[in-house]
Amino acid sequence: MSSVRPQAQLAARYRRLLFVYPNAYRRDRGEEIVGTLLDMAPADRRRPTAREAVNLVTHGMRARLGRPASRWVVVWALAAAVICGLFAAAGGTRVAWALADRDEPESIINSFWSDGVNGVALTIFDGEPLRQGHITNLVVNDAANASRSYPAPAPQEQILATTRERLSAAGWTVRPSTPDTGARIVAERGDVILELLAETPDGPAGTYLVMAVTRTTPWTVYPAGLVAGLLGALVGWLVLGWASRRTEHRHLALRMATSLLFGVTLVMWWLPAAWQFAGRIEHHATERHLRWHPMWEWVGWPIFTLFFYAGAMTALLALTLAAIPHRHRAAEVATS
Amino acid sequence: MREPTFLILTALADGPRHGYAILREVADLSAGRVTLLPGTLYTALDRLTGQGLVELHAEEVVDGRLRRSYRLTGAGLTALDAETARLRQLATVAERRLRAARPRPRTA
Repeated sequence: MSSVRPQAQLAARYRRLLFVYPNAYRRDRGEEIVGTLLDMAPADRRRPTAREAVNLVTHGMRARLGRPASRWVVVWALAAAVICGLFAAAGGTRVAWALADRDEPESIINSFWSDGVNGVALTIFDGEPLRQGHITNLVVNDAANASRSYPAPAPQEQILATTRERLSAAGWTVRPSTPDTGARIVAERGDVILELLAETPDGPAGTYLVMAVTRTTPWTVYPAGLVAGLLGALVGWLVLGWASRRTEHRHLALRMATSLLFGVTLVMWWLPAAWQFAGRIEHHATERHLRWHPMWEWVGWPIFTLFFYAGAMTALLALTLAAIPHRHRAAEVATS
Repeated sequence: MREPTFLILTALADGPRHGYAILREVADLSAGRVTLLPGTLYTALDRLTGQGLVELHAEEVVDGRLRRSYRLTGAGLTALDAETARLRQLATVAERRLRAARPRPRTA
């Protein structure tokens, strides 16, 4: 008698794991699977093993796709889950960027910049003195990354030396220069990274200062992207699985229509994202960066947002078709 | 055909079996090398049923536990037969080449 209660506990734990399977499948097969698991379990087992749990979760997720004889449905579901995960991660990082508690970049930059370098006014911005609004535009409206060129009326070495001194005095952490640094200064303060590049091209133009301002990636962006990405992938898998099960035994025309619409959706989501991803890789490989471009740019936002919305429309249409009630099933339910 | 699928079909070749009996038979047939878990088994049974190779044979409750037994269909027997012939042909070729690669030692 003493082994009855532990067995009941074990069965309850197996049943809890079976919630990964779709309801209808669980009603039909749940007790049979639990029975087999109990047959296999040694008398002293109290909990499902990790291997059993992983096995049930994995195959439960597969069961959610329906069409047990199809391998293609798994490929479709993977493609949907990955792209939904990437989009969700991109959205999550965007929100985390927007909500991050940031330092005031204007005041930080002004602390060094407002009265020029070496006593010489460098506060020229597109032909006029530098104002607060310019820096706001540079840092805030351009979101995360911005650069501008300024004519520098002093010799290059002098500008660089003076700039380093002024940055340090204003509380900036100036990264040590290396042989390949050249006429470049990188300094950080708060969440702002400032890069100054002194260029002296051939010709009468003299030395130019190129200023680039970047905000460091807030730490919250990483967990937000990870959590949103995992949730997005899960939702993508479950939604495709739901539609797959709903259309599994339906009329050929409806199955073809939903497949076509989902195919168009995946093409419209995957192609721009893959194109942009490849472009970003090349961009990062060929240009020096103070930090990685934000994730939404890697999946094609905002450049290819139109494709995203068009894909969302075809996906909604496919889901609407899948949601149309099944006449036979409705009749069965009514009879029962 | 993958090895677990081949083993499941082979386990059902000499008569209907329920899930736990199939798992034990698969382990025996593979000398303990392949140990399937129920999640894998029932996914495979769903697939094989969908392909028309396996079908439900009977349903009973033993010691309060639901047990369903499964059996091979005609198509299942044909598929197992074809796969067995394919594996036998491969094994024969491999054996012939192994014999050629390892000539018998000369006797005095």
